[in-house]
Amino acid sequence: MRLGQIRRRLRLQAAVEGAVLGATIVAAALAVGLAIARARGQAADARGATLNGLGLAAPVVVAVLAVLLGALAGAAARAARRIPLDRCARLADAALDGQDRLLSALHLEVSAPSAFARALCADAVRRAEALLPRAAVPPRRPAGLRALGVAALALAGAAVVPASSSAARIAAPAGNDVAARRAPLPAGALDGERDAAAAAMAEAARLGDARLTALAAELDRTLRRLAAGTLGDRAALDLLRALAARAGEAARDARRDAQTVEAAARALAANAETRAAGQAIAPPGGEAADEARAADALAASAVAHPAETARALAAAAETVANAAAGSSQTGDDADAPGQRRLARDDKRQSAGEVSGSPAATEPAARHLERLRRDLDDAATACRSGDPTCGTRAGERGRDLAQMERQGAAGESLRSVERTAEQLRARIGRGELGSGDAQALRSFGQAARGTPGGGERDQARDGDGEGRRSTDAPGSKAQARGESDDGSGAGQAGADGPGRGRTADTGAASALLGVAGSDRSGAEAAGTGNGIGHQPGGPPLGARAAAGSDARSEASEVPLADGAGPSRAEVIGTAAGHGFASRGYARAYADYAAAVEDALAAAAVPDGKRFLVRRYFDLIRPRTSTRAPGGRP
Amino acid sequence: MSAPSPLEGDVAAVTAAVADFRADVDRLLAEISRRLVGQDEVAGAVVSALLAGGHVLLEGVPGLGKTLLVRTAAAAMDLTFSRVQFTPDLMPADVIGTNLIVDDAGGRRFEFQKGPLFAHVVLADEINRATPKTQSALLEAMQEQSVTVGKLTHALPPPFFVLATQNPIEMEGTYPLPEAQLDRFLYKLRVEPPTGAELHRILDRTTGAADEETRVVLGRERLLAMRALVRQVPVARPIQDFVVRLVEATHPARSPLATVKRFVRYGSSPRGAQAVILGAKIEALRAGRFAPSFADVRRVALPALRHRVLLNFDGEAEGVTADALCAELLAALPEMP
Repeated sequence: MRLGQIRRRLRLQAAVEGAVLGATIVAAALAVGLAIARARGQAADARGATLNGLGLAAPVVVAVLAVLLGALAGAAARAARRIPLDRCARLADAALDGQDRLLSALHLEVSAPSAFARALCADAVRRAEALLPRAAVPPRRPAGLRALGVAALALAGAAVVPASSSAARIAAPAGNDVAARRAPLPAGALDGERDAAAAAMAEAARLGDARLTALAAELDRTLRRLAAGTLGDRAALDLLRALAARAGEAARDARRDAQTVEAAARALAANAETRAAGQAIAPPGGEAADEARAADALAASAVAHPAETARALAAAAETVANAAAGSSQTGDDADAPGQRRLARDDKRQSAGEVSGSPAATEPAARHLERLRRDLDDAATACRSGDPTCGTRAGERGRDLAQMERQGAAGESLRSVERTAEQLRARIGRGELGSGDAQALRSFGQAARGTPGGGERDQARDGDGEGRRSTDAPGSKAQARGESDDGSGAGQAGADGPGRGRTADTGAASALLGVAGSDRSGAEAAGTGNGIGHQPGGPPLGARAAAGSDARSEASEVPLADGAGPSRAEVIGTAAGHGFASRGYARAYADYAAAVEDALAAAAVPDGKRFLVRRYFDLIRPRTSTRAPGGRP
Repeated sequence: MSAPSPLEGDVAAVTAAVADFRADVDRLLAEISRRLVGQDEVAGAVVSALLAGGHVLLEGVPGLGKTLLVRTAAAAMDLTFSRVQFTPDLMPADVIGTNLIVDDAGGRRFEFQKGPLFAHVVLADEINRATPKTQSALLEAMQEQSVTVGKLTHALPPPFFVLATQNPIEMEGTYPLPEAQLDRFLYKLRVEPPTGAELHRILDRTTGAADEETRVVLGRERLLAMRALVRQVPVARPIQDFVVRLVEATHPARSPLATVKRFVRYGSSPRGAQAVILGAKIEALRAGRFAPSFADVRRVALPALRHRVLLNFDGEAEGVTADALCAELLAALPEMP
């Protein structure tokens, strides 16, 4: 029957459209995925690998195969859908005369086998015989071809066009060596940072400190990649932030170790028998601790004077216990502002990465607790005449000397931390040649409504004021200085408020998520939120304040030719123009209430009741606006 | 040739009946249009209502040929015709009749004097000028085809057809028809003024020589047979389902349209669906088809539903019309879900 042929044509059309849809979806997904991957630097070079013998790029072949698979899946899914005969009948009817003969016959053939139904079926069959399925389902271009073209173009574009926009480059994270590659830096651009890294490596070699060696090496490697232009801004910022955090953590550990060992050494030096060991652990001239000498001296003292050595070791253990208790209770709050700064910078990172957190202080406390326990054991051994007393005391002397050497690396570790922070600030200010920071700063100024935003010359004209916390807790260095074109007073600051005429650094810093700068002399890169003094325009997208005075809108009743306005139109217009005052509203309310009372109390015919209510509805106080869908 | 099988005989008979129906309706409309200039759609709808056994409410200003239309239709079908001019002081007894004391040889007795309602075709002219009480007197007659006076029920002669006219509701001295009475009209038709060309033809025809007499083209029995044929026309379930959804959509609680929810007080009663189906059946027969189509339903939906969609105060005040709402419904509702 014709309906079957129509259904087959419909199925074929559906399959073609499903194929187009499937191919479109796959192509679009591939385009989006490829674009994201390229923006993140995870995409392989599409022009690199080729299939053997074909000379085609492997990703291209894979993409084509994926699109074909999508088309096949879409075609199969669409072709498998049920096509009701009703739909075929309606299409046939539309091709005939639009009088639903086939549809009616289809339903009445079964449900109503009357003479009329038989006549209807006979008529429908006769007409359907003359119908060509092609007329009912004419060939047509599958829907979605345009979308497929767009998706294919997008896929090709994502594969071919390099990610060159500023936003793409800013968004590229660490490790994106291809997408975020930048021009090599000029020679000497990073000399200061390189010197600091070299000094840290030399100090690490002198002290034999593995942590310092690793951090200095990482700083040096980062500097080399920056200089070679193989590291993008965002990746560099991430790397340097992590490096500064680790260096800061290590510096705090070292400082705590140094203070603990110094106290323990003082406890040992307080006893005449163990004074040599104490001096070997903490030499008075600032020299490095001599582990061998400290071990030998303490071992000799334990053998010769076990009781006195036991007392000295117990005193040293107590100092270590105090240090451990302080560490576990308060954490390391010596550099709280720095930590807060890091925490602020790491808003988008997980909280666990922030150094100095309570979780991070637990290993340090355990380390000191272990040392205290060892010192106590050695003291007990000496006190009880244990023959291993000398050996144990010697080992503790070596441990303390080793801690002293590690503590001596604290300054170098802080240097590494400072260097990393300074480098981050320089990148954030765009001093290393990337235009992204500058562009973002300009946008920030524009968003705040500051005229002429983003010019660095303007930034020089500003007076800066901020605070900068120094490394030592509680000590803050006040700095005043004059920059090239203006004067800045304050502390290059972590979270201090910065003030400047052009609100340069604040907006840019807020957008970059890095430290801002005041130009307060020296090269102390500060962070801070800027507050501009310059009167700014309205924020982007803000509307001008709307006038609050109400204006009435002149309305006119459009009239049909010759009809004249209806009563509803006449009364409605009058109410819109003349009856909208507050007094009228009160009068209306009084009258309406009285009428409602009367209607409720009296036996008014329905027709009259309707008229009265309708009249009052028409003259109710209202604005002149008309409801949508109402008659104009 | 061999004799046709019973099945083929049925089909042939039905085909012939449909063809005869179509021809008779065409003849009737041609006779009406011979007397009445223009108003083809109104005439077609009036004939359709006659064939469906329903009544028609005509709305329009005076002088547009409403009376002529009904008088001509009645004459062309050889039906009795009466006209009642509704006025504010018209009483129900003036319409349906009353019992009078009659003196005869056996003494005095009550005798029912039939009112003008006892005719095949009744023209209730300007029905909205009468009080609701008198309007309601038509209720039983229109629905039950009978009137009750005292304890006696008097059947009205079939076919009984009421054609009421009303002036636009905004005119002075009118009473809106009660909803219950509105629902008893199969169709509500709007009579538009004639065009310029039609007015020329009207003037030529009415200001010249004496008008021609109306010819009888259908008998009363034939009309009743045609009515019976209409009832045999089957309706496919999708078509009927569309009608059901259409009527349901006129109710604010069940309508998918926001405007209906906002401006409608009550939607159509089941009589509305019956009117649409009957009208669609007649449309199909008039086109020589054996079953109605969606197009037939759309064609008759507006006159069948416009007076059954009752606007609320907001709708009245905002000037929303039932016609606009129905048109919006027809445009928005898919024929097959």
